[in-house]
Amino acid sequence: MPILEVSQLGKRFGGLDALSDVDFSVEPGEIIGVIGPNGAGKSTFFNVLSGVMKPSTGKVVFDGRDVTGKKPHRIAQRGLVRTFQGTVLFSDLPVFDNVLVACHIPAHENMVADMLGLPSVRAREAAMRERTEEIIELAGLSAVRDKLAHDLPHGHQRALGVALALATGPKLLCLDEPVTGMNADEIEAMIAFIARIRERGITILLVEHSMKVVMSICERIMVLNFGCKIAEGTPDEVQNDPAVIEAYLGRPDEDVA
Amino acid sequence: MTKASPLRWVGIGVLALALAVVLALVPFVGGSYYAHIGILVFLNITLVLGYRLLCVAGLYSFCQITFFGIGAYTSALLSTRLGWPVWLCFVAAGIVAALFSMGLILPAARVRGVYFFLVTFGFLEVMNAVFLHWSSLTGGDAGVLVSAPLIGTGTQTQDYFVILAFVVITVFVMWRIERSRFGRELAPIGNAEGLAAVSGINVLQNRVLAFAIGAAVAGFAGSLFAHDAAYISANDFSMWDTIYILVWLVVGGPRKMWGPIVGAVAMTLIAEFLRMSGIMQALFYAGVLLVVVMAMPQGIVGFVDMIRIRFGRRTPPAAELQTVSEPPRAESLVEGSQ
Repeated sequence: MPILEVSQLGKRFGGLDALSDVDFSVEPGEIIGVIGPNGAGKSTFFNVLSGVMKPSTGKVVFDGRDVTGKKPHRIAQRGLVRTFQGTVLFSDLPVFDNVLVACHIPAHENMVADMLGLPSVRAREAAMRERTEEIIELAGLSAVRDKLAHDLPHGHQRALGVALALATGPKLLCLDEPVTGMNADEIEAMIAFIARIRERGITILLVEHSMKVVMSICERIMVLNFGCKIAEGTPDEVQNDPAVIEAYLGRPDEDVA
Repeated sequence: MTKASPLRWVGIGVLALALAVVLALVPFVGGSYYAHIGILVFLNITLVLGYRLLCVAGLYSFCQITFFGIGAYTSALLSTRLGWPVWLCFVAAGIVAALFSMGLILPAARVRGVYFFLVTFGFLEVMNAVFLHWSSLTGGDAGVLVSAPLIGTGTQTQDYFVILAFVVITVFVMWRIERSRFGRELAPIGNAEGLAAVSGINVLQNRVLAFAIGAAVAGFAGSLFAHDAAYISANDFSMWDTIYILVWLVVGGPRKMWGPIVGAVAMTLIAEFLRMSGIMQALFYAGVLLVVVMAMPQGIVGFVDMIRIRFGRRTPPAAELQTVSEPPRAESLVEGSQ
């Protein structure tokens, strides 16, 4: 059974179809890329999936449940978590505290027991700290765990953003252009981080501009253009698809004219 | 926490004990004037702690003092008109303030930033008009004389200890909130609302709760104020009083819980001890505010933290903050500046 199934998904802004009739599904454990030229509807697709925007048409089924038009925090609690391009929760707190806070989000606890600091709560607190350390290590941020988030170089900040999403315990992690603006070393580190996340069995949906990254890590790719799905397949298939080539490079006869 | 050494806990214990002894001696050594200042400081601490909770969640309101006023009037009127016992008036004051706050926040949570500020400013002005002009209920200009004492015979010393107990409870509750899931979710909401929501935080529910808790604390404090002062009027809950709360928060630094405590203690004592010096009071007060805002944008506590981080000492995670031991520092800080 697919972990995410999207059918006939559409989003209309006034007279503009930012997204129309997209059918798409993701199997558990997959790593899938969504690409397309600027304005193709990639961000809208992410916004509709995560509940930031309500779709105009269609249905989003996540983990066997219809989450169409649900509030973002509900969708996130179900396990569909997305990152934003370059926002961290507390820019003036250390890396460790940032991740610790995110670790607390999935814990469902009794507020009264929580406030009284009962032994069970203390035990969980210790477990949270352990988990925080683990995630920081996974993100390759151990060396900077005590630095303030806003003092980190760009690559580390982005890694922290992904670590925060990871800390909330997602089943499907949606990464919004995780390597934008990174240098070659940072891109390599991020790719390795994404690979480590995958090894833990988390399904990944990746929106990315950099074709190189998408081609090198994704098993399957969906291509959007003007809000419509124009192709879907393995990196090789997509690369050789005439519709995709046209979307990115233009029609051959346009060049001639 | 497990990592804190036993020695550290002993140190905290000794500090807390010393603080307790000092606070217990104030009314006996200093007399009723110092008891009065103590009461003022305590009430201000509770006001700013309640206010901090909403500010952390990004709700910079302008009507915290109004909930204090609503609590004060509720308590005063129930006591004088209906003859309710004071403890019941106290409970009702917090509940009524919280109910008013819910009525305000449910529509007001739809707007952000400066618009939210203006909506709450409007609420402050409307309630002030009610306090001042609904004479048949609130006594209008004449205010309300509250004859029922807070406890016992209503001496300054007795009031002092009741309000001290209240501030201790408030600090404790706020400290527990800070470490609870609810408390940890507030700062992400204030920092990056959209990200908080897609990370699984219920933004609206948390904001409403923070606003209501902040208002309830102010309402309880208002009740204590009414019965301690024995007289309340609309003048006690004006725009200026709400600005002071904001000043304490900014001076202390809102990020850590003991920031606003330091701010409230320092600024209240400065204002009080310079009262006799006339214009100097305003100048000095404004000077301290300017220096803090320009040199320490994160407030006194944020500044101390920054130094600790810059010089390599690991900051204690939010969970390890030692709220109990901080007030004496604030006092020594004020002494140092005099």
